[in-house]
Amino acid sequence: MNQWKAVLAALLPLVGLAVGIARNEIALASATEWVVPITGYDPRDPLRGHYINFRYVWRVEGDRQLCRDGGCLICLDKYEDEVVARIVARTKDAACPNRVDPQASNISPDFASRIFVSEGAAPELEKALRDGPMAVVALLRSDGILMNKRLQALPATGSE
Amino acid sequence: MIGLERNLSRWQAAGLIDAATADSIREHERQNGRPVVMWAVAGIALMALALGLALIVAANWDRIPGHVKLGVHFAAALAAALALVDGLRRPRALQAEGALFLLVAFVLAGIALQGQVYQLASPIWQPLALWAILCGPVLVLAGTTYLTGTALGIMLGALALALAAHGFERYGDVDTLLVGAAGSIPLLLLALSGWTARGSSFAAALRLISLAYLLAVASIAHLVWATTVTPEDARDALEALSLPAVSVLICLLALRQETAAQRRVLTVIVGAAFAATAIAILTPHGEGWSWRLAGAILFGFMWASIAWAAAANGWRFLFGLGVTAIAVRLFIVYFEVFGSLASTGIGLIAGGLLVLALLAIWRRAMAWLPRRGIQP
Repeated sequence: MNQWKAVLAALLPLVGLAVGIARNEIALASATEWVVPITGYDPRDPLRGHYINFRYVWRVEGDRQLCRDGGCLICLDKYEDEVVARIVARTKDAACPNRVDPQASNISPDFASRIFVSEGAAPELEKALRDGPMAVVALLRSDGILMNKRLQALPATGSE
Repeated sequence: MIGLERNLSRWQAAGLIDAATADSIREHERQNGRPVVMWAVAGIALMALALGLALIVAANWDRIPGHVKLGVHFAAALAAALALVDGLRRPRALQAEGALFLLVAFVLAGIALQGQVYQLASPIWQPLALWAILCGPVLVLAGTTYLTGTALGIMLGALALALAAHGFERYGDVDTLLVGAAGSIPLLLLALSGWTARGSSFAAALRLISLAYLLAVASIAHLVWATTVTPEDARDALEALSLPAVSVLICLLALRQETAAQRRVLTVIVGAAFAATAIAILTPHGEGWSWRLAGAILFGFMWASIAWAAAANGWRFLFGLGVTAIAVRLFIVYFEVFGSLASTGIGLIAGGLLVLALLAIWRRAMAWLPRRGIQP
């Protein structure tokens, strides 16, 4: 009797892991892709361990203080080649189709984030980030998590 | 072998063994000796191999698609679970234990891997709590040895640390629920050691670890006497203590199944640790030397009652620990009170005499206890 209880208990971790993967995949299924320009967080030394630290370069609208108090959401919008980040209070906001939850996405109040890079790719990415304009390709999931996928060079525009 | 040879000649010189015995010991060791060097070299080679593989995987980590990582990991966890079920059914205790340990480790790695692949961010206590929820039941139901008992102890200890760290994170704004939950974990672990199969090394590991946590928490809480506790702090502390107070009751219920002697010593430990902690954090006080002295006396009472109960029940190690804790605290009192004297000759002489006196008391106690029929 105790044995089948133990067998059931042995299945619990597998079910838990599977549910975790399923939940994330469902949130990703309807994700939208965003290309956001970035700059190195510390321009001389963007690499921290296995992560490249950077800051999103988007046009901020609204009250930044809300984010410092930990009570903000970010509504993303595209506006003529520019990404606009409108800060709203963390309440139900109907007019916010592309909603980013900065806490769940690990985005700091001054819009810093990071991406994992392997040892092999780190030096060239670090150099590229120092040399020219870069962007991060990110997926915005339905649960508000902005997932950084990869870094790429930003095609030079006239305004640069 | 060189160490053995030295010991043999020492024992022979002392007249403990004769030449014939020494020869037969030598012969026995020669025949039963294991090729340690060969095993060591093979072990180093295998480790180099494993490290090399791990490094290649690590260096190309972001080139491996997330689905492949998650898939390979899930297959490994599934294999461990199947090996566990197989080991339980045959039954093969060793296989079941090894597989259970691997499964638990894989689940922690899996939670971390999902966090990395999906870039999830949350305070560290949340993934640890998920780990405990997913793996706690199987550890309690299927664990039998020190290996898995220690795994459960470390799992819950890590959770308690993370909860406490998060609860105290914002200065002046303690999250009393999280801190209370952290404080309850050692007590619940002790209760668990009473409920799981008695006499198994799994339960023994839980008991040892829970007592270590409990006494560590009580000893650390005693540091509060060196700081100021305002009435507001004390109110927070009362809130934080509500969960541990319930856990004490659960603990006492769980201990009802123990033998009378065991129950006595465990009740004293739980009661003394809880009381000392509660008084330290519930009493509004300043940080003057008089409060420190009061704290030190309370600390002494706590450890003295624990050492006494331990000695009366033959828990030799705990008795020694209690006496040591008191001696160390007395030594610290000396520095607290006569701190400025410590650098002078007289201060050093007094300090040396204090240590010698403590040693003498220790020796007397060790000689006196057996005469009273107590086995320390």
